[in-house]
Amino acid sequence: MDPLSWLVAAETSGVAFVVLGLVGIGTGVAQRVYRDHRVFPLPALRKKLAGWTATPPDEIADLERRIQAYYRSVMVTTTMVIGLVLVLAGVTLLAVMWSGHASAVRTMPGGWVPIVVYPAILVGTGLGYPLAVRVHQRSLPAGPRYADLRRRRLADYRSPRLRWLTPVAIAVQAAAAVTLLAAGGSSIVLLMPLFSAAAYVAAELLMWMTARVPRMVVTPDPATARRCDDMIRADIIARLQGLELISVGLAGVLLEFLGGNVLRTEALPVRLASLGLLLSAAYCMFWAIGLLGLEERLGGTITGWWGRPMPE
Amino acid sequence: MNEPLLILDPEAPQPPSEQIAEQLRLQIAAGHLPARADLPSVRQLARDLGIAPNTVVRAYAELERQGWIVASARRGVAVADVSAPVRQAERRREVERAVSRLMVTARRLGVGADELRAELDRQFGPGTTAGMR
Repeated sequence: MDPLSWLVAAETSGVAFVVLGLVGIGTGVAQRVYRDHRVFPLPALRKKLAGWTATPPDEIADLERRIQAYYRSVMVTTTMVIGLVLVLAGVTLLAVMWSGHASAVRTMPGGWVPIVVYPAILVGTGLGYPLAVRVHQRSLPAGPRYADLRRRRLADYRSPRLRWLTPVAIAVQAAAAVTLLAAGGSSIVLLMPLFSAAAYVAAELLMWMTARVPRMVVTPDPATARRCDDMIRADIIARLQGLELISVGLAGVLLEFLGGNVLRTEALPVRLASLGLLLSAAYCMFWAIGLLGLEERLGGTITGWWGRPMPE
Repeated sequence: MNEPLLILDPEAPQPPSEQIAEQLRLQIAAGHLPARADLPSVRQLARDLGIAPNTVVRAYAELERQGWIVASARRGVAVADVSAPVRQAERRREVERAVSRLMVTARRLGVGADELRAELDRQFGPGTTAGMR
């Protein structure tokens, strides 16, 4: 077996997911036990808090300590859940291999890494945040609690217009898949747009859930606590939005690989399908990197857009 | 965003459902929650406040009975279209209650009208009580 085939083989991927997952869980446990402050360094946090105008001058040091502890708790839990999802993905892949259905999982040109790792991070981040909040809630000292007097919506943290970015890429992938199938490609090409659609639905659902996770008391002043809570919630939603686009973009690249046997032909529709897939992947990556660079301010009614004043 | 918050104090003498109902009623009366504004779902409010959903259900039921909110299966819970005189009357009642509480405290501490006026001037700005004679 040549090195590339070995690298993308299902057995290698399965073992790699299990190992990566265990490393993730181990890192999370170590950070929880040793309280590693590098999970969110103080200068970066200070800059973030200033950007969110969540810094009452009289209690800044205490507030930073509290927020850093809460942020650490969220990130550590998220890392552990991502690790767990990767272990489950690896075990599933290996179980399918060893159960006599090896051909079903070997036929993935380009390997399993691109379509497992990012969706695993997506699911792990989306499930890790509510879990972290639940864990944090159990350790809350008795005292006043606060709540919003209106329904929290995803639109508070992300502009509804951004919801339409990913379906554009999925539509291109679906059209390309149908073209490849019509040109004699394997029916497996239809799986990729379905995978993209599933990643999109899962990401939107996880973002919707994140907007509704209970408020966290991180400091005695309710207004400041709400600002800090919004900052962390918006950060998670921005990560999920980026991961959604990356997952769908990689699916486009894989679909181009999958159609490899057909793409060797000179037929114009097949060439256009190939071009469309590469452009859809580039489009997704462009938006993912662009949105992740907006420091969680994705045009929601609470967050506003990056570079503009924070909504009052 | 400077939107109203509901604050639940577990050490307050009032039960949680009454604290919720009273704060919501006051926010509506003061116009901070406009008519037809969507209120948080029972689940969201209960989870934010760390209380049982039944407590929120009791508060909402009480407010609905008094005509401050409307609940529907499709839209959830929203602020009712309360007329301005009703809102004004509620504001006035609350101010009267607050002043009564202040008077009780002042009498207990032996604080006179001049001292109260001085304190109001200090907190609201000089000259606030100029016409209160």
